Amino acid sequence: MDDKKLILVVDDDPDLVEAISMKLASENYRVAKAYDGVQAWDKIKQERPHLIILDVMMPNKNGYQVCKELKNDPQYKNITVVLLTAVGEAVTSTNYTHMDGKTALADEFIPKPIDLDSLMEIVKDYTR
Amino acid sequence: MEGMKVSGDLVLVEGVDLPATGERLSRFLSGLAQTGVNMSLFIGGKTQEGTQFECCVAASDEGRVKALMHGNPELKTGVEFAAPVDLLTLFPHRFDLKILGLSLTALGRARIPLHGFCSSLSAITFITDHTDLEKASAALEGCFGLGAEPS
Repeated sequence: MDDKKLILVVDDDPDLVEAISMKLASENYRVAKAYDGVQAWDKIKQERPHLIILDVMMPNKNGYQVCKELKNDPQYKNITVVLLTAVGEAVTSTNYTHMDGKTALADEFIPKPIDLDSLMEIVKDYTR
Repeated sequence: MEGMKVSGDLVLVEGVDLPATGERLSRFLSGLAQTGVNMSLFIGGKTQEGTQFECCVAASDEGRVKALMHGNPELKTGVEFAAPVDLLTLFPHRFDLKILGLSLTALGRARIPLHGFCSSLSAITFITDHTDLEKASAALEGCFGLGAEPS
């Protein structure tokens, strides 16, 4: 049994997924990747990650929806969710609201653009 | 290969800076920044003769970019608009050059002209004419067994 913690990275920007994944791998984590909310749920069910790094603004199903569904599901509600959000800046030009963020029940919010070192500190805190 | 992303409603802007002083490119880029125009993609190449660059901006920004060019003598010549384009992005490439070869073969067989292509940390992006979007998507989907994920 591999005792490395599994982190699921979800973002519709493949370069950001890759950058975060490379950093996580260098810190000795296993990584799963998804590029929208629907793929994220597939991976959650298949692989049961310890922690999810989840973008908010994505096609098919956004990060708020995924987070709300996850935190309301007894089977998955204990999985830590770190939301990556640029909604603060985009709130006037999109359908996303601050209220969505408040009701999403995420464990952490990280504003974009992200600082990889800060993100790693948060991941380490939650996976100790 | 796990996905393909389509970015549409773009126009391609092509420019040359001869000789390569960097002046025209610099004016163009700072003009875009000052007018708040985002680039979906930028490709630049420098040789001994000069600098060539192309970038894609939203079709809705075309008027602002044209105004910028008309208001600047340096940009009136040497910077041109091409036809409406789309970006087809395949990901992740996992640094496998074979994917580029297979993609170019598939697009070539479907007789899809390319304005350019580039790679990033995770993705390969092809610039195609908007009128060829469906054919190009089908060619790449067929090659890698993918569905497009418009966003």
